[in-house]
Amino acid sequence: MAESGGNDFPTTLGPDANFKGELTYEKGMRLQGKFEGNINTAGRLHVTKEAKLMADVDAGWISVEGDVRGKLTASDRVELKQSARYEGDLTASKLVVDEGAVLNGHVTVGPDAVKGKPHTPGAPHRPVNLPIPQGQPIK
Amino acid sequence: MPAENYNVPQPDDRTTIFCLYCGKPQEVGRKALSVTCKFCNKPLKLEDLRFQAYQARRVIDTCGIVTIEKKGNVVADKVNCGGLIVRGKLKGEIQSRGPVLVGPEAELRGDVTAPSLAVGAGAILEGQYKIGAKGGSDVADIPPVSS
Repeated sequence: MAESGGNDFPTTLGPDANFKGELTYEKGMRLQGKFEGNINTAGRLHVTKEAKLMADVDAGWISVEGDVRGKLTASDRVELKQSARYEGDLTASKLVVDEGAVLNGHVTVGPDAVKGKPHTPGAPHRPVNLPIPQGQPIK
Repeated sequence: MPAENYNVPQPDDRTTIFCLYCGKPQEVGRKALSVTCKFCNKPLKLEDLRFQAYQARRVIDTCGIVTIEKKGNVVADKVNCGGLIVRGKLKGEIQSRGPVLVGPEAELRGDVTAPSLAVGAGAILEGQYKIGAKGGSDVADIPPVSS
């Protein structure tokens, strides 16, 4: 994992990186490569145009420009940009969908949608013991 | 005199609509309130509908724009429309040929199929969503990460 100088996204998973497993971080991460597994953070996740994400994500703020498949939960907001292609279940307080974005899945949005799992920046991360499928692709 | 020599002006009060049933485009008069699809012969309503109070309907069918105002509360089995603006509450299965706009503090419960979606802050959404040019069905297969 590379460290970049950005304030909002101190962590970057570069375009040539393939990550499989569980990842937690504090502030923010920019995903440019491929990721499979789970992400838990109170901070931000930015999935860039070229990135591919197959994961269950629990974050404060999620911005998607690339391909994402899995369950997204954001205590603040989910932003699906013009080039975003998302398939899965989405739970968030706020949702922003740009024209051209593709969304396919169950959506639960509202101020009370993420109740019961408050994410405050700097709060300790909730341990998640979701099984990671071994040897077979997530469909 | 051959037909191509007639100097018939092109009418400028025409608009293009898409049939709710066969999806084919056709030109209709801008002031028309209903037409019959020239491809599938189904009757089509073209008027815009505005709801400002509680209404329970089985089906809402129009090629125009359906607007649920702030005090509107619509419960329908199916909403088939050319575009949708929700400022109040709407419950039902929604199929829109145009964009779906959900205002702040609006409530939209039910499955939604539309080419695009805009959601205001504070809106409540609940249901199965298919958003995108082809109803959100063109999400590419993501190859697994090789370990």
